[in-house]
Amino acid sequence: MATKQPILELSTIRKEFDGNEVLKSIDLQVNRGEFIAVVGKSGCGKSTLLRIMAGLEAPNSGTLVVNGKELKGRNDLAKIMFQDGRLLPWKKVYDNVALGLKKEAQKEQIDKVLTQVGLADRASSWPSELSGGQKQRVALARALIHEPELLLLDEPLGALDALTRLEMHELIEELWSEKQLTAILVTHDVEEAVALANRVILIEEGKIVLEVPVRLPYPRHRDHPLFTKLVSQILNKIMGHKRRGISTEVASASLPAMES
Amino acid sequence: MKTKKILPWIIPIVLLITWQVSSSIGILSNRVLPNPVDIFTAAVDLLKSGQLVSDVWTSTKRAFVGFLIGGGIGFALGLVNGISKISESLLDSSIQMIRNIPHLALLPIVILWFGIGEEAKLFLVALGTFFPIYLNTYHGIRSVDPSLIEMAYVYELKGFSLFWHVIFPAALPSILVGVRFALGITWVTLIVAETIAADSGIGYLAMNAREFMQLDVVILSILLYALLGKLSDVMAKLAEKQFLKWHPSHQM
Repeated sequence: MATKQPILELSTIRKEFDGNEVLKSIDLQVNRGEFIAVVGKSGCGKSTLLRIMAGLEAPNSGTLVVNGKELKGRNDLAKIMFQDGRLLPWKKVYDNVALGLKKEAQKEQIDKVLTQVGLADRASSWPSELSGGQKQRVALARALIHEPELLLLDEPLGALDALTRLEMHELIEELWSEKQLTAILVTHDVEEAVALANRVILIEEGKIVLEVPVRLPYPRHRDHPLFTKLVSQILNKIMGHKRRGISTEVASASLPAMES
Repeated sequence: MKTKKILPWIIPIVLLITWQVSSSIGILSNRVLPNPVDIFTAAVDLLKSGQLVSDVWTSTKRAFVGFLIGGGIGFALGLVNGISKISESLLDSSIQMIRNIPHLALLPIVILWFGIGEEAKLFLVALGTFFPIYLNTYHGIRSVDPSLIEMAYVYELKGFSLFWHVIFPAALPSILVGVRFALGITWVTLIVAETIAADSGIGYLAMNAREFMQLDVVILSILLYALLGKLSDVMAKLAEKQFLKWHPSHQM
């Protein structure tokens, strides 16, 4: 279904800020059409990794190869969706989506993508009139209209309430499969990662410490035994590091109960 | 609803009536303060002779042209210094130094340089309006949210389109604050300049009337300044309303 060549190849990526090593040595291959979720505690370097993939940040060492070519500067294959949406408050929804499009871009194109994210009737609203979830839908529409091969999601749902998140999960999953995108989602929510991705990667202290494939059909049911098993497996790994004293057995017994 | 509309007018109207009545029954001498009807008659007379229109027009033109020159230069420099680091280190500290000289203190030297011609007034108004617009433009551009600039970079905006879609609208609220400040300064500057050195305009009208003890015309001139100042402020507010529709503080 996809070409053999991976869309992204990261090898021994290292990044530091003022002597503080955020990413130590990251090796990762992203294949076309994959949905990867990167999880980890805050400050583990997961957002930095995403910013490096977008070309917004240059690694101190290591290489990032995009479609077989080493990346210099911005990654034009990718569009990134930020946690805070970053809509221009002085442009109406329609014009925010049209940002950076060529003049001859069709109105239908914008209307279509707004319909896809369920905001066709808000085209002439100001961003300040929208709810948090609606703002993120606009941000998603703005990214999608460029038909990026790679969609980078930097905790886009972090600030939303639980119900809105579930709605957004559905939307993101739908659009991802419909457009056959490659998507990389950075999140601190393990359930969200397992619900959306077909590969979950855990980063701790600047290194990939766990890689879990998720072989569950979409749409995923959160009460599926494999689903809860995967969630607790990943959580165990995270928590196990934090509280060394507790045995894994105890942790895995108590965690699913916590989740329900 | 209706009382709310009437409410702000009650005090001015009561004051006006008290003023007129106390003048009519002789408590308030006409040599101290002529009554509203007298002032109104003076205005009508001056209107008929055409002098009122010509003086108001002269002053307005000065205000407008001076504002345009000073504001234009202030805007351009604020823009350049906001965007370019080199230009900022070259110019900003010198501008800040000059800013500390009150521009009206230059009046004597301006009269020596330009006499009482148009240039003197335009120079002072331009100088007065330059600083608020410069400062607010510079500050507005400097405080554009860097995360929006980064977002624009992702969407491949650069050069003029980056400026037009992101930087300028982000700086606009601050620039418009500068415009309102500058408009206030424009009229204050003009009042001083026209009163001391002019052969036309509202200030000249007032000084001329003083020589002939036409107290009603003097008061009329003061009221004209107040009216024009208020008018410019209303216009600036309308501009804010128009250009900052997106701003939550302008949405009701």
